[in-house]
Amino acid sequence: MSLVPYRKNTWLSDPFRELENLQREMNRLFDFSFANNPFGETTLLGSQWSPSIDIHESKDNLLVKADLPGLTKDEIEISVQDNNLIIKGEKKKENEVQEENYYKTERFYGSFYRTIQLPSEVDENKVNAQYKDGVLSLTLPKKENAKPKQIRVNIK
Amino acid sequence: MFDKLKLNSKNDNAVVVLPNTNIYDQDKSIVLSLEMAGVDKESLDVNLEGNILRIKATKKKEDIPREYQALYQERQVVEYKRSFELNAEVDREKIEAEYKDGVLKVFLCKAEKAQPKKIAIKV
Repeated sequence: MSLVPYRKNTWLSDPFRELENLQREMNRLFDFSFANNPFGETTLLGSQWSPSIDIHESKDNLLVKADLPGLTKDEIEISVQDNNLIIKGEKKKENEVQEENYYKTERFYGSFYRTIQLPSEVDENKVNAQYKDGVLSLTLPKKENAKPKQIRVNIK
Repeated sequence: MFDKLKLNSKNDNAVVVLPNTNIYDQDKSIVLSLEMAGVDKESLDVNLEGNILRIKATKKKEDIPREYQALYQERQVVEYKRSFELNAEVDREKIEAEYKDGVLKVFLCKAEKAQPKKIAIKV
């Protein structure tokens, strides 16, 4: 048996791996430039910033958390419409600062809007909202008819 | 080498994020304002090492009751980290910080000599 020289990662040994690498790199490039632009503004796909959210569910409630740094309570507007939760508002610039005094602006300002389809019907009159340290927490109680029901089946 | 790796993997489930920052002049200071939502105030750490100002904070652990189940998650456990190099303009002794509504503001006081001096012109 003859010995074959070991070549690491050459396209000869595994041409598909190179293709996969290329694809991965391209994906990374696109992810970076379109979706995860850290500066929030002027991307090709949508020029808006929208808050990141988490949704948790229990038997009786939905719990929605959103990261909204740098806002005040009055700048956030929450509504429930046709089983969609709408979080919107406007982020205002620090008004005491004049434009020419900025060295760097990376933070996003302007209006934002986010709609979240809720997984079950909620009672919009009983929504409880809290805003603390830039995090918005919403507790949305489910409607009676949306709660899971246990039906006992009698076996004869 | 392995020691180094160990050090780095201490918090391996935390995603490290560079907080978006604005820097501006305000009166006698230069202000850094960093967006860091939901930070645990205890973990906030601003320290100066030579010319490097390091800012570090971890996000507060969410206290979600047991009966809840995650349906959808975009917010990750995050560690915020960013450092800035200061020039001679900044008075090292007078650095203050405040955290409010998810924004950390660091006030860097300008050193005496960096403040514009009014020169009276004699006619």
